[in-house]
Amino acid sequence: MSKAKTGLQSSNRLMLGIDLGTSRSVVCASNGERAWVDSYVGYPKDFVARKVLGASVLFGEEALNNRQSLDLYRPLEHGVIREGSSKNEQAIQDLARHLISLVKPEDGQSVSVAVGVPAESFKNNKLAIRRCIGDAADALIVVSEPFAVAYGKNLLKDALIIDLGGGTIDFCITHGAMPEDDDQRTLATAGDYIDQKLLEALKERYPKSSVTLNMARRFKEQFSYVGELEGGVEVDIPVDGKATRHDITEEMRAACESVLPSVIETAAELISRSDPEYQDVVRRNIVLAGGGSQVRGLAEYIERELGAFGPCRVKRVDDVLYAGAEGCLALANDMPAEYWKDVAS
Amino acid sequence: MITNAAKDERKQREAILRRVYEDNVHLREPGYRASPRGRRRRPRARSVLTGLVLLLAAGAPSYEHVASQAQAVAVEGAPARNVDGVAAGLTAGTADRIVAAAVAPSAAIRPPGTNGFSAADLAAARNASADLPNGPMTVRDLFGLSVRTIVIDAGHGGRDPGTMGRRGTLEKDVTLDVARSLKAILERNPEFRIFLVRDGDAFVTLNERAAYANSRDADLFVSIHVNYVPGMSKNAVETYYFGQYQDLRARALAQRENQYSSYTISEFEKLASSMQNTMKLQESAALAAAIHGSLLRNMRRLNHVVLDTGVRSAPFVVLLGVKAPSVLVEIGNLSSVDAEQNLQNAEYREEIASYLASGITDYLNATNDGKTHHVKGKDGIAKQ
Repeated sequence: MSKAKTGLQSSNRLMLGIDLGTSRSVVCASNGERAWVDSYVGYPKDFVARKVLGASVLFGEEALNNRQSLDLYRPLEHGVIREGSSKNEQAIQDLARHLISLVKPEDGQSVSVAVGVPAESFKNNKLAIRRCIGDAADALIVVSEPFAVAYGKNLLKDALIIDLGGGTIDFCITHGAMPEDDDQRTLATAGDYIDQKLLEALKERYPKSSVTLNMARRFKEQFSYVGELEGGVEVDIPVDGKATRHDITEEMRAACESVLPSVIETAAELISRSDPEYQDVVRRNIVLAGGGSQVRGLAEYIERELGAFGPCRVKRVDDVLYAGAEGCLALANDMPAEYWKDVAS
Repeated sequence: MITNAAKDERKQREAILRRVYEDNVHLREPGYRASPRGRRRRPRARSVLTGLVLLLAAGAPSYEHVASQAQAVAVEGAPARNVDGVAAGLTAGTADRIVAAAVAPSAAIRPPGTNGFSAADLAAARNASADLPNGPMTVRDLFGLSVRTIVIDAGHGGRDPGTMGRRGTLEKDVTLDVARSLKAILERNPEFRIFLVRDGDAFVTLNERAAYANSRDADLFVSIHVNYVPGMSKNAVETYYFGQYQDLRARALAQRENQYSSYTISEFEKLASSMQNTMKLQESAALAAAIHGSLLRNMRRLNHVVLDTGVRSAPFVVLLGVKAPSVLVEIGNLSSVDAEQNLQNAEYREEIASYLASGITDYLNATNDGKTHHVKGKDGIAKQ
């Protein structure tokens, strides 16, 4: 978990922007506080574990580090609440409460929240988010995550936002108005899919090495790349209990590039559906957000592939981690007070 | 000094914020058109007026005719199942009659002001309808009919295995598994009652399936099947509602799926004539389009190569006998090796069920803007 303060004023109503992510959840508040936490929620397995840990619920890295004593939940899958377990819904509720507590609302202060969800979330997914977070907030709006980025970054006209998250890659093309369904896409093959691909590749190449999904995820976060890379990628993986150096250069590239064909196809399709007179403008205004945008060589890869359709320019938002939550906060701040009354929890 | 550009940007943002707000208000008050049990909304005068004005706009034979129908309905007073809003007192048959009038073109529309309503009433009604979309309006849109009971039919079963893939995958097994998953997903919404025609490997004739759906007072009927198109190596999804076959392939498919019908010719003709029911046709087509759109969009999203053969009509007996809007979905093509491999995977089958659920949700959420009502196939399949 990490916290920062941006120096904004607080008021009687605290506005929050929350990016509830599959791998990380981020909150930004109108009082200037902001924080993030890995999207893990853990509950002590038994009375002993509870006594040892001294808490009934742990979050983020703390939960991950104590996972042997916990029933550990990563309650979001493909950017929406993982279905099939009321415990996951409980975990989302607890995570939302935790995020809100991190930005320190004052006693008696009402809390209004804008939450980002994948661009093509089904209505039942949005309702589930609303059901889970509604109890923790006084009022709540749900908004498309990539559009929130566009709003926060003032990219409301002729831009293509690609938000590369853990559970989904979301696309949103803006044309000066609220995007319609046809302006948005969600791909379910995202960061988690890369982790899985990397894990499979490592197990295949190094069958005697003890590698886990968490390790694969950590390797990806440190060394991910696409295209060409100077030097290689080497990591320590235990073999028979002994830390051993492994070259994973090729496996990393293959895993990271595995999601890109559908990214290129989707981006090209969305641009081709936009107004023909502005397609060139949009192609020159592609903006990457989300943790996946930090993959080395990604912007250049997309520029090269989409360059076949015409001149292309891809840039990355400067604050990758907070862009989604900041965009949600901007929406929440701008929302007229009377609107909030109708979306009270 | 505020520049024009700044003013434009401010207006743009205001419009966006309003849309975000409206979307969330809509989300908060789910558009399932289903009020919780025991909390049916009473018809409101404004709704009635709006409905009548819309009927006029749609080309009703005469305003008085419609008004008298509505009045007659109010007198009849027998509450129909699954209705809400303005149609709370309608019987299904009356609703059909009114809608038949609403969709029939006519030149005999009388001008406002001669129909017993005050100018203020009409102005209010006009204002109430001013923001409504201009797309085609269905009976369900017009009267706010709700959906509560959904019957899911797993195609084939027992001694009727359906089609079989090269690896031995049986259609009856796939359809049952998908049907069970779909039921589980839809049941998460407590407003729905979900029934499976068969919940095991049992043989059920087509008219027994229809009779079961009718006995449960189904509001929607979804029949799940898997296709086999000889010589076709790609996966394909097709969604059908009852009607005339549009090509020879659709006819061949209907013949195959109709194999276990036990309707007599006279029963069949009687049922076929009942298909003039406007609401069932409209809603079946809309439901088919929504389900098909969801299947295709989501399957393609997950990199599954799939052909879009569109929403079609064909004379499936199982759809004929069900009184509710009903569709038959071919969720894949077992002649495709890849598709068969996917359909052998439980997670994939669950995904397909979630896409079907999403399509049903889309249909229930759809307003009258026609968005989900006009899905056309792009890829086509060669006629056999």
